[in-house]
Amino acid sequence: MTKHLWDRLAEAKSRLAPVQSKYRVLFEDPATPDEPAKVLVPDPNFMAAALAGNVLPPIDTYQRDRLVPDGQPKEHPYAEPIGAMSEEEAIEYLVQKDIDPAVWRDYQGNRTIMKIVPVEMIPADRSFRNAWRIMQ
Amino acid sequence: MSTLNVSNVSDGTTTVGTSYVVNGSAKAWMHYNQDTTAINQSFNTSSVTDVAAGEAKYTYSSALDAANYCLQVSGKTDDNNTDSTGNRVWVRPFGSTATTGSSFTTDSGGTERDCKILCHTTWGDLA
Repeated sequence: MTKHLWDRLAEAKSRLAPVQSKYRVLFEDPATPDEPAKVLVPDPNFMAAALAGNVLPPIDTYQRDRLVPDGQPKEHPYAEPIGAMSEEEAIEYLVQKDIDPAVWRDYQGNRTIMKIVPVEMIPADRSFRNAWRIMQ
Repeated sequence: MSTLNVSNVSDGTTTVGTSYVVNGSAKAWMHYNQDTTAINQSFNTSSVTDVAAGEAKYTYSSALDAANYCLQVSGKTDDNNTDSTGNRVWVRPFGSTATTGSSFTTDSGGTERDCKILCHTTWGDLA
């Protein structure tokens, strides 16, 4: 039987060095257009597990679990783990897992609302953080 | 890796079921710098989203079974004890779902503040 994902993550953390990603995902939520742009930061232990393989479940299990009500059994904890990914594939996986599909799949407007950018492109000065927008 | 399959753990005097040890462990935690958006240490989180000034949202790799778990957050705006206003910030949980937990930080004047040290711990049952 496949081990629970939490156990696999604990085991992976004990043997894999964390990997700081060179990417960030900049996005805006079309449901809240007045809010500033958001920045998704990949977790170094998640990245290490993604690059090593045999830890994380298939992305479609997370997507199906979005529809499962609280308290009901979820599919992703016991799904058979998938193989190693490249860093770029890991970021795509993370976008589909951690960002609402309304941003990366369903949005049909003309505005660019999501960009994967090198970490250096995120402003270091946060004085006007709540005014950040994606440049069009 | 070897696995010990035991029902109880004992020090010779006190015995406790291993289920208490496993169920009582934190299910996710993260040490995060909002200023640099760097995750320093973590477990069972796949990402943190810098939502706005003072607001962060964590996403779990292995989800909780429901939204009503215990999310504990703490932080301070400096890491060298020089920001007197920042040492009086209010860091609080700002919503949770089975897959995410959020925190929000303001200072004593109600202004959103980013924490150089922001710690988040999740206690509850896994999905």
